[in-house]
Amino acid sequence: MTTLATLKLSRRSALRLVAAGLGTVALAACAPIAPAPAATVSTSAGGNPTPGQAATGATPQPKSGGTLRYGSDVDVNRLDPHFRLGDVYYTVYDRLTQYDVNHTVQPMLAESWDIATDFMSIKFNLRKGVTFHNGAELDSAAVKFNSERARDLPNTQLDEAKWWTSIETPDKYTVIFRSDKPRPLAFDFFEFLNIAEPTSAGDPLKAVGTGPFKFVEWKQNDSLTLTKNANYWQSGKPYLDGIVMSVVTNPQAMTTQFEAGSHDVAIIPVTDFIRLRDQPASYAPYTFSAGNFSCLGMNCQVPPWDNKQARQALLYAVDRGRWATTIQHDLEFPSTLPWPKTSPAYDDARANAFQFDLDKAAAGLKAAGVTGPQTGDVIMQNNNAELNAFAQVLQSDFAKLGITLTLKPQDVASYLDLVNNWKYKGFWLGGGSFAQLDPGTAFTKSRALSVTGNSSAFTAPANAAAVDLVGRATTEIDPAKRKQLYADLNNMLLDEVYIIGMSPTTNRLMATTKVHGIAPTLHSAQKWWEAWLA
Amino acid sequence: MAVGSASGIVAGRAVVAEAAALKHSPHPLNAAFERTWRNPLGFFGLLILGVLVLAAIAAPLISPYDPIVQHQGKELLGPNSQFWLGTDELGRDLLSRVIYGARPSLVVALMVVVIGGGLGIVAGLVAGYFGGLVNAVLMRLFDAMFAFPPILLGFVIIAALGPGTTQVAYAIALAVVPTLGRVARSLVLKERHRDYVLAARCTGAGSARVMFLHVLPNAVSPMIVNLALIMGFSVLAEASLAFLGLGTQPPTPSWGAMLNDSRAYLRNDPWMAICPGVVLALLLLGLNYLADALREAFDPRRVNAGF
Repeated sequence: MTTLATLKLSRRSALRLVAAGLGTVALAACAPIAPAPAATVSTSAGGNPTPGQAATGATPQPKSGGTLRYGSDVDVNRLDPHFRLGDVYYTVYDRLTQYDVNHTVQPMLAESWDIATDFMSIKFNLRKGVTFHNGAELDSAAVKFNSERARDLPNTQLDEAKWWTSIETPDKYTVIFRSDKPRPLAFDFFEFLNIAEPTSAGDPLKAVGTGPFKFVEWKQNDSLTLTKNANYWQSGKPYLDGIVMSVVTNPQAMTTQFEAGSHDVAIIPVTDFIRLRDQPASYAPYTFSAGNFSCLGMNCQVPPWDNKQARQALLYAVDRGRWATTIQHDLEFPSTLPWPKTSPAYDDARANAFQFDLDKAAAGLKAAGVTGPQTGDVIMQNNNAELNAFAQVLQSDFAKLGITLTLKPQDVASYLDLVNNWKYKGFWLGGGSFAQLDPGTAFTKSRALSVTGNSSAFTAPANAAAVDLVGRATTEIDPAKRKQLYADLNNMLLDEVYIIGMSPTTNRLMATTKVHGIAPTLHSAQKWWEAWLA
Repeated sequence: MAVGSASGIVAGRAVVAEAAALKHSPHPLNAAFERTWRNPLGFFGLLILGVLVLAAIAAPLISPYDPIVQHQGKELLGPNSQFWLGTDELGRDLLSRVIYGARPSLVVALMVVVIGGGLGIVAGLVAGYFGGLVNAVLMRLFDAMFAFPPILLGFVIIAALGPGTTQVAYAIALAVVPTLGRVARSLVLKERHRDYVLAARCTGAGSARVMFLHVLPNAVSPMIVNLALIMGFSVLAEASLAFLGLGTQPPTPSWGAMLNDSRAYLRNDPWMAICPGVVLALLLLGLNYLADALREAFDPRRVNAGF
């Protein structure tokens, strides 16, 4: 009897088998890729597709029930309510007010408010009967506590909390914020001030807010589980019974899991996003601007980049068009400015003023006295395939200018340490955020844009004029003067060039067609309390 | 038998014939290599290795394009008449990058064999020949090195030296030293009590002369097989470290780095992974077949049986 154990394979047969296998593989590689079907997803007025609407033309009605499974490429950093929280975790908390997509302030925990004509005080009237997840009632003392906590904690990116010289609580449902200077950008601050239950705010294991979802469990680097807040002050919402956010740091694994049905919503790489976008029967793509932007920064204290003229020359050396069209597959538009087109500071002429031109860059470097070969590192996060690819484009282009770049991809922690503490001697390739807000706020909050403590070591005394300008931009209340200040800020950015803008980022989210009602906020998260599952 | 008798003459002729045969017989190493060459697997391995070495050396002559030049507007093309294996995400010709990508793999393999093999064999020779405290110290050092997983050891060394092809070679060379050291030591232990060693000592040869001129040539055969296996391990380790971003740095092409870059495009553009993957697999297959053939060629039972 012939069995596997008794089968013998001669060397000639083995070689024939190997050759046949290689030939099959070669044929498969040469086979043409089937053309992608034409995109047929309909889009709503906001540019986001509405699943189901393409087929019937009717808007489906929300249904309650179901748990949304969200695939995230990053984990929650911590449960503290006064740091950046991420898309899903934000839903544990509410804020006093929130912007809609038109940048109009809408009530949230505050029903109404009165702004002094000099913008030096704001009185909020709180919504009555709102309770935290532990049953405690929301009151003015809780609001005051949260603002003061945000002011006192380091590195919260809520430095605007220092604006308020006093916070008065004349009664249980009234809060008055007072400042010694006009604060026309106050609502940018309130957009990010999460209101947590005071007794739990400092507890690293607790998360108690008034939001549409309650915290259940956080398994670090694994998952975050939230459940519906049945007593939410918005009656009838949320529609979902809960949200489970799974952390999948490997982009290919994320796509594979998403396509296998493990997630209802996921953040997937741009190449897979493009591919799945063309399958409208199964998937619904969402794009939105969360105020992020991509840029190249440099250490402004390391020669020759301590020379402003040399930095200006590099404005011509960054191929933004290639970044936006080739690497981001036309999902973004090239711009030297970080602003989305909806920003009051967006200026089309300035955004396109520095087209890629290596001859101009070379002339500029020569005029700046930068002669001879230069070297430098490029620091970027190793989990961003697009930035890593563009780093090689920069490497190739800069080589033509006599600048040899050594690429040094880093894990997130190392990258932040190198960039935030100026430990690199060359360039950093990454991005910033808060560009969806007022430019004055962006220049204050964004570490990339900030004129004090930014990632490019752009500091005193070089930044003195910029600091003054940003200060005026955050306190000017005259709209006409504000418009001029926006132009001045753009000119300052393109003059000092401590970062070189590449494009405003288009954030992407891919959902299955059973998810409805996804809508963005202006604090880099979605309104998950309005989402529902078919 | 009496000298001058017929049987004595026949016996004498037989001795003379045997001596003549021994004088004209090929050196054992040459015979082994000839057996390897005649072995179909060995031939295949040598062919693959030879082709890739030649391709690596002649890369500037045979590559259709500069491997680091980015052809704008021609990104992610499939195989076509202009770019035979297609292009990558930055428009670089994949065929050229695959050809040039052979260099880091082969250079690392060669450096590992020379540095790691040299250090390991010398350490093993010394440990086995002298024994005693020297042997104990070296073997405990090897034990400590064996405790580290090779990839982890590579990480530590590259963290200290920085990423790059040379640094990867040093890291892998260090990782293989204990393996070859132990093999060399075991062979020396077998050989050091032989008569020829005693005879060499009696003639006044020093320890170094005895080790390198007498013992080593007689113990080299199994080491050659191990070196062939080490080459295969080196190629795979280099590709693995390059895949993790620790090896050859961009824009210099490397098969491992190309595999890493291709991950984001596996669904739509699989040739970016297939091309370097197939060539890497071929090289590993060839080296393994070569090692197998060498093992058969040096097998004393087969040699004595006339195979």
